[in-house]
Amino acid sequence: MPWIRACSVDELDDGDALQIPTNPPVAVFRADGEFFALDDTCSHGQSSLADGYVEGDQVECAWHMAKFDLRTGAALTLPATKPVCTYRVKVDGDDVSVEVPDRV
Amino acid sequence: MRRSSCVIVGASAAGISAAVAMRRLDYRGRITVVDADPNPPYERPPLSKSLLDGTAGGLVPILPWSTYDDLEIDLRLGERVTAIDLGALQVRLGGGDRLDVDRLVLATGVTARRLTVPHADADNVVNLRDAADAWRLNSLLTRGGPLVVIGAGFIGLELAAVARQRGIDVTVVEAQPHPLAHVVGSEVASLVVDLHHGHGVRLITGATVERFVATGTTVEQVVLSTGRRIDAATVVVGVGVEPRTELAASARVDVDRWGFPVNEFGQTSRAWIFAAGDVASQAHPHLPARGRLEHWDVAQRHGEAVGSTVAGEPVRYREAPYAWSDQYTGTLQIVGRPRGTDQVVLRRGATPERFLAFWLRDGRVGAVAGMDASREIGVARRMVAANVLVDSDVLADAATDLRGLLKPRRTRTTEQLAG
Ligand SMILES: Cc1cc2nc3c(=O)[nH]c(=O)nc-3n(C[C@H](O)[C@H](O)[C@H](O)COP(=O)(O)OP(=O)(O)OC[C@H]3O[C@@H](n4cnc5c(N)ncnc54)[C@H](O)[C@@H]3O)c2cc1C
Repeated sequence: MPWIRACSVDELDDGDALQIPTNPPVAVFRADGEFFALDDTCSHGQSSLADGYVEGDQVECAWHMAKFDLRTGAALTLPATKPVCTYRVKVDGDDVSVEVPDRV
Repeated sequence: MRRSSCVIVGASAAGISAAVAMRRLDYRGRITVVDADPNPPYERPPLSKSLLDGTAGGLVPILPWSTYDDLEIDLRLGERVTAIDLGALQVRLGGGDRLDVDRLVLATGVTARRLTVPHADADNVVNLRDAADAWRLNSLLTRGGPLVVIGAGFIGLELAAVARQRGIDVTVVEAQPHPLAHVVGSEVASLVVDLHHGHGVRLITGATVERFVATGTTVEQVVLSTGRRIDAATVVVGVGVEPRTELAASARVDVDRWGFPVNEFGQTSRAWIFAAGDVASQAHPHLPARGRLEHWDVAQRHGEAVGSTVAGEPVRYREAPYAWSDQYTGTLQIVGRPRGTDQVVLRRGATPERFLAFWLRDGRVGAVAGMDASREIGVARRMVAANVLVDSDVLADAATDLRGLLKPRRTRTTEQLAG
């Protein structure tokens, strides 16, 4: 799986997220200064998790309010019951890179 | 000591969430969930969406099938609870079985109200509530239009959208002059109506069904109170619901016009009998008066709170109700309950496809509705919960980052105050 540059450290504030148009798309989150990368598509509906609300180390899906663990991808509440994949993230100087599932 | 035994009537959003919450809190007793519906517990919202949009999506299970075993939740599907035997502390099933019970949760939901005109039970007249209804409606829609939807509520309008996307001619008939206005106010309601007009839905307001013209057991025309006749291949009736309170008589618990009246912990008038979800009549802080909250997310959360209470950890259900409805490619989301006395603030740049509206109550956000604005809705939900003071001009400005309004205000330095 290739590494790609997702953004610069300053591009995301705490609680922000962005979607990388890989296949499948990946969402990169910043929470309390840390960066996380997960499948962007919720495992329940078809919503983009990058549109979700980040609180602590959880993201709440924007459509049906299921919560996922940003560290493990685990589905924490109904209506979701399946986890989403997580991807490795590295911060190198000002660059945030993600090991993405496919080529862009 | 005899093992405790909880029976939950209704294996849907509220009933299943209650059962899961009880196990999460280590309830050691038996849990049996009974439902007359023979299908493994499924989500109801897709019945008016992916089940009908031609993508051939199947039922969406609430939980993976193996979870019921893992959590030791016994399901009795395809069986009806016919009575509660208070003397024997047993629940009676239609097939004759009896289940011991010392904690009862009534999560029986609501049924769709039927029209009282002749032919209301014709082959091509559908009241959409369960999987069987959705399959029947899907096969009717496969034959093509025209479709006549009676009642412009959320489900009726979702069906109109799905049918238009399948290229079917759609007429929606609504008794009220302004559809949805009582739910989301006239400004937002007219945006939703415009969206449907834009997709070619014919909307007839201020009219009710006078009668059906049928050949054999098939309705061919709908005759309205205005005298107008509309051709119909399929008729969907969405004219409100009735709470399923049949078990009140044998359980000897109170009922009111909304359902089973419960306290903030979901307890009915009998301490060991609870009610959760659509069938509960709640005095909820977001309702101006006692009433029902009929949304999937509410039923799940209410069920979870009631399940926790049953398991010995009382939880109040007080959050702002949340509802969504898919209309064409957008999702309409509503947090809280708009009131006629609120100040409505529509964000600038609103279109039928994308808008965000706030309802201010004493300078605070009491309710929010958005179309294709789900990122903002997540923040707005916290604004409602945090009861923050807001400025209507700031809210109306589409450039405002709502998250900034959530942050606690910094105290000003003496220089700032002086300068
Ligand atoms: C077509 C459709 C689309 C919807 N779309 C949305 C949406 O997009 N968003 C949203 O927020 N909400 C939506 N809703 C509303 C939402 O589905 C309900 O609020 C929710 O299902 C309520 O859950 P509940 O568990 O309280 O009751 P219900 O889901 O009504 O379940 C009650 C269950 O109890 C069973 N039952 C009743 N009496 C007995 C008995 N005596 N014995 C055995 N079983 C019994 C019934 O068979 C039923 O399965 C939709 C509803 C419908 C019908």
